[in-house]
Amino acid sequence: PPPQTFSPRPAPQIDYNSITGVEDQNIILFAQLVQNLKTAPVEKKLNITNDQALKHLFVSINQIKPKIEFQLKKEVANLEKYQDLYSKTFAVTKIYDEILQLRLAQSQQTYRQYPQ
Amino acid sequence: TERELAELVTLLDNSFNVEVLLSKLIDLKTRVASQPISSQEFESILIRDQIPGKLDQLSQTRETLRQILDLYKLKVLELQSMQKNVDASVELYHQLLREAKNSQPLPSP
Repeated sequence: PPPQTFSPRPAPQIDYNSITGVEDQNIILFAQLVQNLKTAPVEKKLNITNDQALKHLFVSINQIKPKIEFQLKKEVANLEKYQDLYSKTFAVTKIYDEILQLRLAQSQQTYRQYPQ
Repeated sequence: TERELAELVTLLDNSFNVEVLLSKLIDLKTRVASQPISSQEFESILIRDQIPGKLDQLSQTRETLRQILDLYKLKVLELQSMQKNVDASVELYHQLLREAKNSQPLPSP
């Protein structure tokens, strides 16, 4: 039997700009914490500058922001690409109808020129 | 949603190319408009470019595209909502920080 050859498998594509589940959870957690602080008693509100957990979350949120912008741009571009393709399916039908109309007009003209 | 979208895009990729079909039809229309061609020649062009079969598949392709568009619209809405949530939370955090700093007692002289 021929010697077995092993070709390297392509590495799975990792999208480093995709938003992970943890990042998604961090966004929700940060939103909830700041929303809770808004209605919290004054002494708790004043302690915000010492809240290290919230500070860490804020840093993480700032790192996620460019990812969201990137993903949004990417998905809007995809949406526009498929919208363009969708409208082209209607252009196909329209142009085919126009071709048939042209053929019909040409046949009628030929018939008028050379009847029977 | 991601898997469903990937399946639909694969389905679309395995179908005929809409842009190529459109380009062929535009060429055919230009040819028919510029000089009359015989029925035999017209039919042979249609058969050569598999146009009738592709036109039959067109409604299915359109439906696949409609489903893809719905999913992309959903993804865009989700991301826009996420962006709004982040912007509003960050703004509120800055506001609370400002309020806390302004409320701090002045250092005694």
